[in-house]
Amino acid sequence: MVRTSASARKPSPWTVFRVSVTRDLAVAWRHLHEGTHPLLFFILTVSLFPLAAGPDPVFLRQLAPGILWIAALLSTLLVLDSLFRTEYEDGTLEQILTSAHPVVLIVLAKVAAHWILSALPLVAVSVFLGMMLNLPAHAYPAMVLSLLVGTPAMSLIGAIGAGLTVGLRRRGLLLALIVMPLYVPILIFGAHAVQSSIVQANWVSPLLLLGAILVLSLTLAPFALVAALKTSLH
Amino acid sequence: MHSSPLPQAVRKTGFSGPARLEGREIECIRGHACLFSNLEFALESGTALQILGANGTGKTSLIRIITGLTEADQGTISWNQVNIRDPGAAYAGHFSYLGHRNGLNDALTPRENLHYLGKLEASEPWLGIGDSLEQFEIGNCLNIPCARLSVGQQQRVALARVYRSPARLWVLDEPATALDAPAIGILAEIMTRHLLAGGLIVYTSHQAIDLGPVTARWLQL
Repeated sequence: MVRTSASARKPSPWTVFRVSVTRDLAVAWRHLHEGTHPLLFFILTVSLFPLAAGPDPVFLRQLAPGILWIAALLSTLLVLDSLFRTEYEDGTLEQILTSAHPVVLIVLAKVAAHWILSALPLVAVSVFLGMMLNLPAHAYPAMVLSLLVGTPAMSLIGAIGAGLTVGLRRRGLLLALIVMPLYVPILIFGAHAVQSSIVQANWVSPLLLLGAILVLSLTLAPFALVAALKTSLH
Repeated sequence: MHSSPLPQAVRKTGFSGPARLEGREIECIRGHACLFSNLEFALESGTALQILGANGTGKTSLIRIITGLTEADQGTISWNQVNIRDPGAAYAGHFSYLGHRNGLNDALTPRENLHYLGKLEASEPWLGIGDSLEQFEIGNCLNIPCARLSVGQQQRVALARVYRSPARLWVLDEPATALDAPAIGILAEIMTRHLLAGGLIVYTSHQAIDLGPVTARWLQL
């Protein structure tokens, strides 16, 4: 029998963050089939547009930024509800909220893992979907960068909505209705950056504004999220 | 009691210094009904407090108020004379909570679950994961996903989590749920050990848990 003494080795905040992210990735790995849903949804939604709007390459090129951004927004929305669902039902959330470590850090780790799993694959696949929508080669950096900066902001803001609604039995579309208006600025600047780069105009400015939104949500959203989760568990 | 002798995984050192959990004038209102009001209780290190009451009298509500998950409508809970709601109280590091939801993810194994939950503690747990599961005689379940364990086995894993926690106060809501007679025996024994080491326990239980020589108090709702 190995006995460890009750030494007060306190795990560092970084360790807690890392363990938290690894744990969520391990859970996702066990439910791999579910993890592919947002990606497939993204691909399918984008594929529907040429079918409905016609295969005219010039027309598709004009629509491409909007299509890609709206599809990314919808697939982000689709998976938001699952962000805290299992943790709420199995009691992990209670353990997180009564943890000795800053709760903000742990929930931030959950959102980070969620983003890695649900949004990062979209960014990768958007390159191929861009080809399908006849996006010019010089617009790819703007598209990838705007999605890389915009999607974490969407995950962070959406997490607040997920935290608010996690305790409700009949949520329906409530979460989408709460969160979607908050996504408007992200959508505007994100799609605008891609649009500008297609016509070879200045696309860095909208990207920087998108970055400002990310910084703002990164600093404020975790605190709002903790408050929302506490209310839900009350 | 169970037949096989338990492996003796006991804390090398007990908790030092006094500790006190106190509730003053606690009131809890659910909807339009007042579950309880002017509730007073106090317990010191080495003592257990059992909350008694019929279904629906607010046992779980009181437990959640003690953990700080729910805010009392009136009154205060204090840990070592400091209100647990004070920003500087650092109360969360001093207790381990087991509720009706056991905190275990179905897809993960007991090892993975306890590893993660152990990192949420204030300091590294004093006992290894395997040893703590061995205490509850489920050492063979270490690497089986929790979804494949029975409800009773899952409860044992959840109790192993509390047992290895470095926290001084245990807040247990129906810890004996789904446990068989031998497991209730083990639970009684580890609770007794925790109290003898200077710990504190607040619990509810519909099953009798024999704490032997230790002082146990009751709070009737």
